[in-house]
Amino acid sequence: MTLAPPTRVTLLDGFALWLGDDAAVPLRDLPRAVQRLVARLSLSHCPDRNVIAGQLWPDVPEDHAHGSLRSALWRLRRVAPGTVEVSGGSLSLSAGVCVDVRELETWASRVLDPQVRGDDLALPGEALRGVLLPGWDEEWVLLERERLRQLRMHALEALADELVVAGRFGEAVEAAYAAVHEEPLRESAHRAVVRVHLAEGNTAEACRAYEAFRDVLADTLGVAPTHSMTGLLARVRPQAYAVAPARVPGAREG
Amino acid sequence: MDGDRSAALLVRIWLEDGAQSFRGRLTTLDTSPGRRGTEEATVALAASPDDVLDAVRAWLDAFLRDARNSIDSDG
Repeated sequence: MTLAPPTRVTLLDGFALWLGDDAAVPLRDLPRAVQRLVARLSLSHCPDRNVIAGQLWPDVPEDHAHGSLRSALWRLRRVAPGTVEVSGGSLSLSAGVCVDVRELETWASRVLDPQVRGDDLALPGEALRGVLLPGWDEEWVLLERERLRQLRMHALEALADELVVAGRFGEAVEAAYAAVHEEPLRESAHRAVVRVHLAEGNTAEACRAYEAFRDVLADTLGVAPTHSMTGLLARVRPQAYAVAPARVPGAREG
Repeated sequence: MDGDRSAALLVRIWLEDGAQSFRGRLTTLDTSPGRRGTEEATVALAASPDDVLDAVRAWLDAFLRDARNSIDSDG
């Protein structure tokens, strides 16, 4: 007997609902209210029906919001029965429904767990690298989008270092550049790139990465890399990348 | 109301280890009805409070100017 694949919700790079018994063709053109309901349930761990109605329909009276919620639930049940569990005043996704965002969170928590080492880690799949619900501008989506971006960025930087320890330099540099891609001006991500090149013994590439970032930083923000960044290269090329000694607060010149 | 104009401005600020000042990126998103699907766009990069305040003022001025122009042209 072959089990049907579970129902799946994808929110990264756009909304789609993949039904277990028809998993080859996702539902992308559900009514907007239904998409918002599924997305909200996928992202939040607060099942309170009043909160959900208020968040999804913030600009209408409470009874209208609850009416809209009932309507969205009814429409969802028609196209995807069993996706949502309703219990008293609570709403939640059914236990078997898979959500890509939750997979991203699981991946990140493994990477950031100090007990898990580089040998047991891997880059996230392409499906977990997308932006949360691009084009959606609801406040709760903007906040979640930023939270997930930060989570992925921190995890990618940590992953780069873990993969270096494991000697997996190719994947490490990919992880570091994926972190750079999340925020091209973020120095800690560029430091991860430089650390990978240095760990691999590729000093020239490390210097190129440093200098490219230094120039971008000067052009865009008018600031220099920090000592933490320059110090990485000062160890291997002290003549070229001297780090000025840190000033002691309160110390007198001369 | 279809003529409503709205936008969001996101100010991202971060401190690098050992940096003297913060670094920041300000991005905007057009949230007007009917503009769904537009992407975030960077409006300014900033490394000081004045940079941020100047960028917020410039963004707000541009938003209000565009909104008034679109209302005038609707009328």
